Amino acid sequence: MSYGYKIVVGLTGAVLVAAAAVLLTGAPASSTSDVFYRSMWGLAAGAGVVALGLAVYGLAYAATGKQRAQEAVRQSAGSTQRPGQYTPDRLDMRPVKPVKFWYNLALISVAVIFVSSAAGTGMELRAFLDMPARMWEFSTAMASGVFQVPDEELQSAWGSAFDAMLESVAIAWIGTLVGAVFSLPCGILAARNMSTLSVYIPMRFILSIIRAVPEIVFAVAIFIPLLGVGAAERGGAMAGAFALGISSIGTLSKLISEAIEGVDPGPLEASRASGATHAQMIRWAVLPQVLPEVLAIWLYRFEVNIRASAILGALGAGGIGRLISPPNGLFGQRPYPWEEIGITLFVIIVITMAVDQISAFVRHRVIHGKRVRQKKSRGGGGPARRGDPAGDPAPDEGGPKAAAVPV
Amino acid sequence: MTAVAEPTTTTSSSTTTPQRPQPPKPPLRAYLGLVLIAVAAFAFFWWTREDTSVLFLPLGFTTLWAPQWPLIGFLVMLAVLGFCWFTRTGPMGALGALSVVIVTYWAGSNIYFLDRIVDVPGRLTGGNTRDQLIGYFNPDWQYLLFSNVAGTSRPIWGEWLITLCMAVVATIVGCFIGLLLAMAASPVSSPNKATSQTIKAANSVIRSIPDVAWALLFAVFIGSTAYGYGALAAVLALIMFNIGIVAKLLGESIDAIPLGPIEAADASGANLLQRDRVAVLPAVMPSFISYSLYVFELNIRASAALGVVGVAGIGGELSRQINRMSQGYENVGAILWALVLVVLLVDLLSLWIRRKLL
Amino acid sequence: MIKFENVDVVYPNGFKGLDDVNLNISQGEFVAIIGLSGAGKSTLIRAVNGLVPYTAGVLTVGETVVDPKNKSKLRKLRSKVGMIFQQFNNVGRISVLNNVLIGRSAVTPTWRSLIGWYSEADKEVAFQSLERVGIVEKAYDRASSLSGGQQQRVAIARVLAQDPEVILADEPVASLDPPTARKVLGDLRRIQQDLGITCIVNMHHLDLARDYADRIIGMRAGQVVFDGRTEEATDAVIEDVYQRSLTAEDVASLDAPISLDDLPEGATVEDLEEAVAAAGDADGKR
Repeated sequence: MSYGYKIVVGLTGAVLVAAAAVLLTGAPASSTSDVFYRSMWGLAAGAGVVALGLAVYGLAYAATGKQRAQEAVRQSAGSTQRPGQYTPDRLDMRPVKPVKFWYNLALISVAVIFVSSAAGTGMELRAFLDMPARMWEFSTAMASGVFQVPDEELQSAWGSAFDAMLESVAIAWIGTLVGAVFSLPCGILAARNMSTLSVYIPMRFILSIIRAVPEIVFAVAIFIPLLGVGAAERGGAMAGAFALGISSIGTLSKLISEAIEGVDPGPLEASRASGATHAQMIRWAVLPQVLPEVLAIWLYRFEVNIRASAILGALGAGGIGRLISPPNGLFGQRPYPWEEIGITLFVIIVITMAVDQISAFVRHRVIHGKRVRQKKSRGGGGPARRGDPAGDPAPDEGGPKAAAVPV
Repeated sequence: MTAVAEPTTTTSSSTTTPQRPQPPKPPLRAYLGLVLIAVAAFAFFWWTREDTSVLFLPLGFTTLWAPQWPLIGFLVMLAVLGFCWFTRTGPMGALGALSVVIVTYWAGSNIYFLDRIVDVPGRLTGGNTRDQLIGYFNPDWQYLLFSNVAGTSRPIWGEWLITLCMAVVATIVGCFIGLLLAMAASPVSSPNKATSQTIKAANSVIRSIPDVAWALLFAVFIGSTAYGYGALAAVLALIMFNIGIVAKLLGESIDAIPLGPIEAADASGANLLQRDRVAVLPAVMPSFISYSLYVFELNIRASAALGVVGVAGIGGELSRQINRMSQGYENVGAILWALVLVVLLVDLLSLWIRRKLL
Repeated sequence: MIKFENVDVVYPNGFKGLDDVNLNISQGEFVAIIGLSGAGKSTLIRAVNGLVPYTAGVLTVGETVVDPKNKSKLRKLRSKVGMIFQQFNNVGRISVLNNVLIGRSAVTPTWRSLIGWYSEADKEVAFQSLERVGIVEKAYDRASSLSGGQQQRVAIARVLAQDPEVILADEPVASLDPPTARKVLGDLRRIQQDLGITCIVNMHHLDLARDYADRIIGMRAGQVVFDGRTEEATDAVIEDVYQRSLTAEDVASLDAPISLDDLPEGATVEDLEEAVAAAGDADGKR
């Protein structure tokens, strides 16, 4: 069991990485990009620390070499079990702790990459010194905007915030609807147990392409030219809605196809055995099983889309993002209208949370049926949790189904 | 060949068992309530309509009229209700269908759905839409690879690097904080109910503020005044964004872990921190890693978009190019195509890591 | 050693889990608790280490009175009272050794368990407990990769690592097949006798209880309806506990590799035991 070569390899690697990083700081590229320069120095520092640690470890390892050799002899003698010779004692029956080389290596590289990127962004942590005071000042200004009886000006701020947020909700709704309409057939075609390989593979490919394209690309490159930019009546909202809708198709179809692949195959077999056509099978054996889950997935995407519509708004595609982002929005004015910003943020929080709550309720209702909310009295405090009279130690399985984990 | 019973057997069985169960009829009263809701929605849409086109219905002695689109919407609502009645859907299901129609009508009218759709062919033939689209599909790679950010000596590819760096830093920090918050927010692993409820509430506030708003806020908090806020604002905004996502998703995973090991740790006298470490953390580790990778992918997309509000990275360059779009669309096209490429590469990378790890 | 004096447990939903239980279990006894589901067996066991708080009466373990309100005292108590579960409750994704080290939580400083750096002494204890249950060679395997019987042994090792005075076992063998169940219970019995640990075990299987326990306690509707030496627990007494005549299920293992439908009408307990034993043999040969 020699780890010597691994230590040597690791040490050499770390030194090489550090040296390469130092050398690259002198490369012509670094004279043009200071990001590159800084991150290379960060990389060099991180790799240097790792090399140092490995060197210390290697020295210690080398120093104990003799001991380990003796141990190895003792153990190998024990394992042959010759009579009259050394017999293994209890301690030798214990397994040797496996070395998780790749695991450790991965952890170390994450740390080095972190140092390197932190250096690369060129963040100045000095900025944190002033931040609390400013935060306090601006937050109180925002809170005073929310918690005062609105005068004429603030009333219009409330009004425009509500209008913009409702527009965001409308964008998200239409976007989800567009996504939903296309995603069900796409999901069926992309489910391995529903379609042939010649449909499945291209469908999967198209869907992963759609998933790879960020919404802002759809918005900027296709729908803003097609449908317009700016306020809702000039088409910005529609552009946002369609961008969200098209990019929803990818995720939605993937989740739906996974749900379909997870259905109980029994009914499928039964309907096939009774001579149902493909469409009949989908209608009567697949859809009834997956429809609650599909609805939950759609609703989940609706929540996601509300948040996403904000960033599209910043690009000129309508909604709340247009209201806040510079140059024309609230953050583009000087001095900052903190009271109005506070009101807008408040409206955003309230409406988003309200929609989340409604959607969560509907999802729960759709998946679990009429039973209103399971009591979540388990865990935590201990005393209150063992509510079931049977004293059954098996916990109820899983709680609410984590239906739509985005991947 | 079909498995359906022959008509003769049907009749004979119906004669022997005359008491066949009827499909349950939904309550009429509930449906009348739903019709009332539809009428109220109709009135609301009539009242708030901006389109003034009107449908006339000449009846001879008088002419009824109604606003065109609200009336069509109303008819659709009634049709949906009729369909639900015909298929004997329960009142809750019918309410769901009705509200989908109402919300869709409201949302569609709010964003001028039909006006814009009607407009599309005109835009395609005239105006600069064609030029724009052509520009996007002929990206200027020279610009992307060899030119500098306007007015500085920073190359464009350096902006990509800074975007990646921001995403890495924000992912690591944000996921770590998100893990702690998720632990504190789940009733399974938090010290008491008050803590978990408070953290949950704070978390949903964090999550409901969009990342653009976070970026703008932090930019001001840090004290930058103009464009080019530097990376710190973007990193902080991304961290908040990540905390929200990770805490939510991981909280759900923690809620769903088997309670047995937790009880075992309790029974062997572990305190709360020890229990969370030995029984909760290992159980959620795979989902944590998976979510972290997911969040990293999101961060790349988001940091590209965040630049729109003026923070560093490729997004800043993108928004600058969008603002000077009159000089040609090829630069924007190049950035967008490269964005797709980078996101695709990052997706593949994280797919590979996922395969390796899980 | 363990003393119940008029102990009541009332659940928050009003269900009475234990009703005026008086028991005195002395040091080194192996007590089996039998009864129907919902009779309060689990409640009784969980009251001892405070996983279920009792609502009236006095419950004493050793010298200490169990106080469900006082969390730190409860933790101290739990460090001396080990518990084994039906579902093993091992953490599947960490190694067997780390699972056993969970048993050392009470004596390990929190920061050490947080970074997973246990002291050599703790590791030694863990290894010794693994040796005692005979699966030390699996120490670095993932717990989830083990079979059911091995998992339950890991759970026993975890409990032994606590250096307990009392072991509580909640249906420890209900998820195991009959031969394995006998092996695991035999191990538990042996260890308990070696170390002089008091042992309270919930059981569904009457035959196992009769074979391994010193003393049998019968429960019905939260009350102790029988308490005596194993020899005294005749079929008649047990029928009184169950409030019905003994059927095949009462002595059959739930996971027995035979089906009750295979038995002739009116089969006796002996018939069933024979069938189970035969099936177990067949299992072993396979």
